[in-house]
Amino acid sequence: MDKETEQLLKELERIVEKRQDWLFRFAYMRIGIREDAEDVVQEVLLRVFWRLCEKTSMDNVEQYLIRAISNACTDHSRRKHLKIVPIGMAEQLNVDEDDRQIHEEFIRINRLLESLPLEQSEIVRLKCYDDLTFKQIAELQDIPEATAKSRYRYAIQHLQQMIKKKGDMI
Amino acid sequence: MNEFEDIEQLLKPQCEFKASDTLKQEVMEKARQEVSPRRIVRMWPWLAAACVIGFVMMILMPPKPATEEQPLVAKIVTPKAAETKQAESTPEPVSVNVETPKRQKAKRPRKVVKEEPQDEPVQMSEETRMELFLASLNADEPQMEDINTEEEIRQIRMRGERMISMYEENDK
Repeated sequence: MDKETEQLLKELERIVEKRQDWLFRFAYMRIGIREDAEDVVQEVLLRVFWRLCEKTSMDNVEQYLIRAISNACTDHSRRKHLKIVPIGMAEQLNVDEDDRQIHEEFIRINRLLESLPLEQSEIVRLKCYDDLTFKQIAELQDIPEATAKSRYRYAIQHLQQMIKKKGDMI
Repeated sequence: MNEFEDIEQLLKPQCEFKASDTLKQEVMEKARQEVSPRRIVRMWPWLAAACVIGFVMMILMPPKPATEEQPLVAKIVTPKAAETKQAESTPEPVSVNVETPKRQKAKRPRKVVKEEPQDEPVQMSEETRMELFLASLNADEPQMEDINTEEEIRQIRMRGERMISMYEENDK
């Protein structure tokens, strides 16, 4: 193996160590199954490695990773015909004891966001859960930054009203 | 404003997400496999070489000697007993068919021309008899290129002599 290849492998190792948990969280929050989420993460990381090998220009590896994982999750849902997983079904899934906590987290967030329109819920997920900036969200969704901000504001307002209603009922 | 932040806090991750320990190993292993040179056994050069050798052998091999495998077969056709009587009145030559390899391939059955019996001896002039005789000689005469052996030459000579003797008897 030549030096250049070894350097590429080291670069990949660095990316994996730094981003694998973030990528896994991103995928798990949209898929809800550990094995599938890890498959998607693996696919994305290998795609990054091929890009590095082909010396295809990746101006921003971070931005490429975000786009790649987002597209991979969408493709996965299309392949498995799981466009929208009802939360009721997700609760019934048999989950390992180790994964119980993250699965409950998945259910909690999806329960909060289920009443929102899809484009708003996705922006809330990207902003709050995945820690992306509005600029990154706008680039990923191919929308103006202002649109991303306004959608986020509407979503939060909607959630406020919903929580107030629930509090009044209790 | 505080409520807004509270909602944001509510939507933040509440627990840590950890990918499997094997994930990194699997990714690195697959990446190494991608870059490692593959040993591909290429079959097409061997197939091409075999075809070329076969073609060269076909060109360089000597042609098969056709005459050794297919010797000449001489077939003597003798007229039947009934026909021999008629032959006394009308001269019937003994036909000798020499089968060459070309003729064997063709496998054409020879047509035996049966001459109709003549009830009465026809009186012919000297010239017409000579023409008939020559015509009969040419009819079943084997071609010179087909005559190869001494036996054939001897048979042809005998036939000629017989024809001459028959002709002389007729004259008497």
